[in-house]
Amino acid sequence: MDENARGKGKDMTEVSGQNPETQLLDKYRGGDVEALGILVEKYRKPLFAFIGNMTRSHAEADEVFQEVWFKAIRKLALYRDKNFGGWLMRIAHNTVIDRARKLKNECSLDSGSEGGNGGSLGSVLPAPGQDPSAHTAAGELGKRISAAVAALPHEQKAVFLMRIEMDLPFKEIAGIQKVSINTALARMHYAVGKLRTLLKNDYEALAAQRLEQERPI
Amino acid sequence: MNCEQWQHQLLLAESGELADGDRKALDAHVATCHACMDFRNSTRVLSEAVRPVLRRGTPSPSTLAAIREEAAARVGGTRMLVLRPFVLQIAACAAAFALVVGGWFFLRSGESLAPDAIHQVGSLLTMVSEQHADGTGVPAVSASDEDARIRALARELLRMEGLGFDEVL
Repeated sequence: MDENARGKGKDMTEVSGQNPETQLLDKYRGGDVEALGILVEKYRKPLFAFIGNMTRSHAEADEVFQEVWFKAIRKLALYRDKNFGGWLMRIAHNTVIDRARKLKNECSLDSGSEGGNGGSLGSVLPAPGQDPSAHTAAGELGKRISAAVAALPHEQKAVFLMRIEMDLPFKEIAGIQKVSINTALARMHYAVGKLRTLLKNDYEALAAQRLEQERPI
Repeated sequence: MNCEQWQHQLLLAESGELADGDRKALDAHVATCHACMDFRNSTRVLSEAVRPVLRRGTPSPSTLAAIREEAAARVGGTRMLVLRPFVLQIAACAAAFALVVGGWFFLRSGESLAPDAIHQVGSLLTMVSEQHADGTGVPAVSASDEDARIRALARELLRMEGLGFDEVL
């Protein structure tokens, strides 16, 4: 399906020279539900990877993924951006933040009744080793990589995921996080540094593996 | 520029947000700086290692089915919303047209009435000033409609001055 989506998009680009996503959205607006299905399939993996690593369980990630698409479908008439993936990621980021705030308030109410001080935003976001990818990744290395990503501070992790999963430019990431581009760059910089530290025992093997893949046959 | 700033430039270069001129300067620095070269390699190695691991999760079939159902249910509503700006544009054009036509008629009627109104006010003022100058009253008026209108206006003005029209006559 993914290949199919890419193939259709490519054909449309070649024919008209226009953005294939815009054409798919126009087709959906014209009543072709399958056109939106192609977009859902195209962004299924990167979007779910972002959401899955920003929430605490697979069930929660499923809920957020559905909520994001429902919001996107309802707001589609207002969509005027050039980058559909960036727009989708903005909705996903805001949904994750809103959900975390809501959970934080609920935690505060609960802890308030027990005489506690209330939970921080970080306490309702995934803790190291709790993210769904950690359970689904094959092999020990995959688990260690998932755990390292999960251990990143929330904002750094969001920048890192938006950058590597959706290939968003820093200008757009800064806009989504409502920070300066220098702050977004600094967050990515810290994320890379921290991942390098957390995966120091695996880094050499990963670098060698990459060199092996790049070597011409 | 320190290495952290160069590394920010490296990140911008990787995302395609660095100008060609800046890229040349960056390449020249990285070629001689071990720390920045290492950072560039780290970014690439980690991104490529992390991406396939994180993408192993997938939404459940029921979630995808629910999205499909929502998309099918909303497609009509979306079309209506898309039409809305077009309808608003038509309405705005119609309102602008009505405004222009109405304004044109208003100005045209103003032009045709204005000389007559000025003439009537001038006559009235002359008549009133004559009444006050010699106290003999207004000149004899004709029975025409125009004169009757002037007499009515003069009567009103004199009443406001505290004089009765008949007294002046």
